[in-house]
Parts: sequence; C-alpha cells; structure tokens
Amino acid sequence: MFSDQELVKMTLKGKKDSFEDLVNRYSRKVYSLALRMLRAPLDAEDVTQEAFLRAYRSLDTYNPDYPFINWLLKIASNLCIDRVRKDQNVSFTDTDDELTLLPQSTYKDPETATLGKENLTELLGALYSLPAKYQLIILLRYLEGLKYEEIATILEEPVGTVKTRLHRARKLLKDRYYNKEEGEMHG
Amino acid sequence: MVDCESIRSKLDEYVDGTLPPLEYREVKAHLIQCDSCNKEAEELFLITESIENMLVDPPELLNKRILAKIAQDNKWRKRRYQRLVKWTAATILIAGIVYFLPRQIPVDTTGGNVAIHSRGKNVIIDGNTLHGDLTVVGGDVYVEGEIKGNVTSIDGQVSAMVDGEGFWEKCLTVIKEIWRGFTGGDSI
Repeated sequence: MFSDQELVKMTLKGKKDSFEDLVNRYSRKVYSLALRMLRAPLDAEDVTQEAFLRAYRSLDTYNPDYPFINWLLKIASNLCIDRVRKDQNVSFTDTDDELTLLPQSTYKDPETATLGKENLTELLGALYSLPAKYQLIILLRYLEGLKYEEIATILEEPVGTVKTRLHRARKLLKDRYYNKEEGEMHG
Repeated sequence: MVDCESIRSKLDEYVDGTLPPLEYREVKAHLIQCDSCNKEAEELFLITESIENMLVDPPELLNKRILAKIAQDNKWRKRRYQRLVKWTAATILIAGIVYFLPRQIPVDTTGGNVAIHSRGKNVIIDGNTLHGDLTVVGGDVYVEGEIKGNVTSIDGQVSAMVDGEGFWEKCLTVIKEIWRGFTGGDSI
C-alpha cells in the first residue's frame, strides 16, 4: 500500500487515480469533522467535497514533512469555521436531526458505546452549545486524535494556547453536559 | 499527601495520556484514594471517549461525487488553460506584427526644406516630390519619390528605389538574381 506522500507524488505526476485512494482513505475523517461542526449532513458533504477539491488544486503546495490528513483537516477546519460564521443564526434544536447525527457505530454495536443513545444526544447538544473554536479544538483532539503540536500547526497557534483553549473547552463541555443531566435528574 | 487542586490541574493531561510517567503514577495513586477527583477523571474519560467514537461513515456516494467534481474541475481548468494559451499566442503574434511592421514617418512634401528627428524610425518620401532639402537625424531615409534639394542623414542611411520599382518588382529582381546564381547566367 502506498503512503500518503507517495500518492500525492503520483497524483502530481499525472496519475489521477492516486488521489482517489486519498479520498477513500480520509473522507470519513473529514466528513465526521464537518458533520460535528456543522450538524447538517448536506453542509458536511459540501464541505468535504470542497476540502478535497481545494486540496487537489493546491496539492503542489503540500509539505510532505507533515501528515497529509493534518493538511486536509486544516483546509476542512477553515471551511467549517467560515460556514459557521456565515450561518451563526441557524438553530439546531430539531430532535430528529440530532438523532440522524448519532454515530452509526453506536447503533451497530451498543457495547462499544461509552454513552447510551440518549446521553450521547445530550453530549452532542452540550458540544454544539460551545463556541465554534472550542468545538473545533475538542473535535481535532478527540475525534481526529491529533496531538497538541499537530493541532497547533492546524490552527496556527502556539502549543500553549492550544493547551489552554482545550482545557477551557473540555471544562465547559463537561460542566454543560453534567449540569444539564443533573438538572434533568432533579427536575 | 498530594492535594486535590494539584491533581485536578493535571487531569487533562492524565486523560489525554500526555503526562510524564512519574506524574501519571502520582495522579493514578491519588485517584484510587480520592473519590471526588476520581469522579472528575471518570467524567472526563467518558466525554472524551464518547467523542472518539463519534466518527461517522459518509454517505455511500460521497466519494464518487468528490471524484466527479475533481474530474469536472480538471476539464474546466484544461479548457481554461487551452483558452489562455490561444489568447497568449494571439497576443504575442499581434504584438510581434506591430513591432516588426515598418515604422515609417512620411515627409510632408508640400513645404520647402524639411528637418526630422526621426528617433529610430525610417523616413519615407512616398512617391511625391520634395522641392527643398531633407535633413534627418537618428533614422534611415527611404526615398520612393523625388527630392529636388540635398539629403542629409545623421546616424542613418539613405536608400532610393529604382524608378518605377514597387514591392513585387523588387521580389522579382531578387528571385532573378537567385536563379542566375543557380543556373550560371540563364535568365528565367
């Protein structure tokens, strides 16, 4: 199997099929990030398409010293933030929509889920209630599994800022999720 | 005994697995003894692990749509590139023609003496008769008409067309000369 860097080189040399492998390899990660940020499946599809298209167009500017997926996620993150800014007033309280956004793995194999379906909806609600930059940093860290340094490169921020922002985001997420739960329990 | 505040400041990195081994063991030992901190750590673990499991498969046809869009973009860019090449070639051709066109200044033959600073352009007496003198600075003089007075060219040359000889006659003369060179003197 070719490495990402090899596939990029081959694409640049005119072997267009090589880029297809990169799409198949990473569309899930890009789509998941976009869906969690934007909450609307169609918007997530748009952003995923656009991210790959932009990556393809500017493939010659990609620095192979860094993982390809991080570069791709940087493009996708910027697109998501742009969309969130444009669309600040959209409400995401529709319960049906939230259910469709639940991870498919949760339905297929409940044992692997760390939270039940209802609690997961609550957690998504808490995540969505965070400011976009907090959502993004949480998703890059836990959904995409990136290291602090990698997130710093993507966000073009110092590692210290990433750690501080992540700490605040995580605290806010935890407070909102558990306070809501407790509130419901008491109510 | 390590205090709870110090442990809680390290919980983020403990959960992320980025704590150095010594501190990791220290936090772990504290969590076994302290219910309150342990609950805090468990909540963090639960949230972060749940988010880790939130990866979603994209719609079945998304990858195909992405590749189709790229292919479409390729075609469009190829067409745009071809158009750009055509326009560039046409522009270069036109610029070349304009640049290499004879750059000539016609002489006003209605007056008497004429003095021209030609700035590199050729000065042409176009089939008319100049009754005075002609002085040209900085360019060649090409006479297709007649000059009654004197011709002075500074930094340039003066050439005159044989009476009645036009462009095609000149071409014919050149061809005849070439032919003569080949045949050793027979005319066409």
